[in-house]
Amino acid sequence: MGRYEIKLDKVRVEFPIYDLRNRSLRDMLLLNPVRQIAQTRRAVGGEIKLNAAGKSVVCALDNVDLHLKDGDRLGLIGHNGAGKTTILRAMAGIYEPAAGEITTRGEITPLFGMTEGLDIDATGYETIRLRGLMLGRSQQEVGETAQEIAEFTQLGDYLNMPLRTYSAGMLVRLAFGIATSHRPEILLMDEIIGAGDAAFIDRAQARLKSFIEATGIMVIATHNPEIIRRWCNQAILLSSGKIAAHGAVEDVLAEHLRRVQESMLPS
Amino acid sequence: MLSITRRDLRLAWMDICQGVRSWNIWHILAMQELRQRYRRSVLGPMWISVSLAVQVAVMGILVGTLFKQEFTKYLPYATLGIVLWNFISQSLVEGANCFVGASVYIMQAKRPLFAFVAHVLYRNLVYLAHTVVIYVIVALIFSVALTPATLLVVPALLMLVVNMGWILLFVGVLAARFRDVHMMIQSSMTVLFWLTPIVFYPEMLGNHRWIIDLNPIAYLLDIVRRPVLGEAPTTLSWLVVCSMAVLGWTGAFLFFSRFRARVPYWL
Repeated sequence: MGRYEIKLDKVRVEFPIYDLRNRSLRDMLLLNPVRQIAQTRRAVGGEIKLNAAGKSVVCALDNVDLHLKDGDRLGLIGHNGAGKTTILRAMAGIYEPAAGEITTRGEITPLFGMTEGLDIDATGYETIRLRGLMLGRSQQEVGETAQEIAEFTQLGDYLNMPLRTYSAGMLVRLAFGIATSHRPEILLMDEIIGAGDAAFIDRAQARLKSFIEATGIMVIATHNPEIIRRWCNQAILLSSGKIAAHGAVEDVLAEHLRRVQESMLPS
Repeated sequence: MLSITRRDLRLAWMDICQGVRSWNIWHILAMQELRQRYRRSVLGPMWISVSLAVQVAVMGILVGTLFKQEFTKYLPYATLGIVLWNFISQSLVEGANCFVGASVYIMQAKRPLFAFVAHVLYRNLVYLAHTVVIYVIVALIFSVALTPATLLVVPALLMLVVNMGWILLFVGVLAARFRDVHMMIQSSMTVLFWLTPIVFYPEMLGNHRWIIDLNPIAYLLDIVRRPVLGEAPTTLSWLVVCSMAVLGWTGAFLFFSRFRARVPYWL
C-alpha cells in the first residue's frame, strides 16, 4: 500500500444553471421535440439533465470511478467541456461532489491559473509568500523556499521590486519558480506550467523533470498529446463528463484521435 | 432543501476554525489591498482619515447647527457615530462581496471559506484604526472625560466584531448565490444611515423612537459608543447584542453548514 492515493467512487458533479433564461433553455434542450437533434449534434460540454430536485443542471462528471496510487502519472484528454478541469478541481477538494465520494491521502498541490490574481503592486518576495501560504504551506516553509526560488529564477534584486516592473518573461520565471518550489505529494495541473524564454527553457525543463519525478501522484489535463506521451504513464479520455477510455497512453490517444476524426466526417 | 447532516456541520465547523487560524493569509491580503488602493498617493492610507475628517466636519457641523446642538457634547457623539457607522456599513457592503471577490483564490486551491470573511472584517478593522484617529482629535478638542465605564469598550468592540462575523458569513454566502444582494445592501445603506441614531439622538424622534428600538444596528452602535463617551451601555443593549450574537451565529452556522459546499459552484 502506497503512501499516496486518490480514489473517486461513483463521483457525480453537477452545475446548476442559474440563467435568467433557465426555463427556456430547459425547454429548448429537454422538453422540446427537437431535443433529440440538439443532443446528437452537440459536440462539447457536459450533458444537460434534470437532477433529483427537478432543476436543470449540467452534468460535468457522471459516475466517475478512478483509483490512483503512488507513481501514477495520469494524463487527462478530451474536448472542451469534457470535464477535465472539473475532475481536477474535484480532486483538489474545491468542488464537493453531488453524489459519490472522493478520498485522498497525501498533501495536494493544485496548480491551476497560477498567473491569475497576481497583485502587480506586490514585490516578488511578497508574491512568493502569499502564494505559498495560499497553497497551505507554513510560514517557515515559505521562508525556506524563498531563497531557493531567488537562486533558480535569477531575478536577484527584482524580487524586492513590485511585479509591475517585471517583463512578461520575468513574470513567467517567477510563477514557474513558485509553482515548482515545493516537492508535492499529489500534483494536479491544468496544462503544463509554462517555462518562458529560450535562455531559461533548459533549466526550466530540468527543474520540471525533477519536480514531476519527485511527485507521488500526478494528474495533468491537456489538449496536447505530446505532453501526455512525455510525462504520463496512463491516460483517460473524458467525454461529456464520463470516462470514455482509460488505459495505456497510446491506446487512449488513438481512441481520442479516432473520435476526433469521426466527428469531422459529414453525418 | 433543509437537510443538514452531521458531516455538513463538522465540515462547516472545521472551515470556520481553519479560517480564523489562517490569519497570515488575511493579514497579507488586507495589507496588499490597502497599498493597492492608495498606491502612489502622497498621503497613502491617511486618506481614510482625511476623508473621514471632511465628512465629520461637514456633516457634524451642518446637522449639529440644524438641530441646534451644543457642539461640546454633540460633535464627539456624531464623530464617533460616523466612525462606527463607516465600519459597519463598509463591512456589510464588502462582506456581500467576500466570496465573489475572492473567486480567483477559491478556484485555485481548497482554502477555508471563512478566511475570506475574516479577511473583509480584518481589513475594515484596519480602516477603523485609521478613522478612530479623527475621533481622538475631536475628543481632545472638546475634552471628553474618561471614566471607569470607558473600559467597557473592550467587551463592546468584541461583541461588535462577533456579530459582524455571523452577519458577513450569512450575507457572503447569500450574495454568492444571488448577485442582487450586493446591490441591495449597497443601496439600502443610505436609508439605514437615517434610520440609525448616528448624527442625531434617539430622543429627538419623540413618538417615533420605536424605529430605533427595532433597529439592531442601533444597539451595536450604542454599545460601543456609550463607553467611549464615558457612560455604561444599558443592560437592554447588552442583552440585545448578546442574544443577537448567539441566535445569529446559530442561524448563520446552520445556513453555512447547508450551503458551504455549494459556494464554489456559484462563483
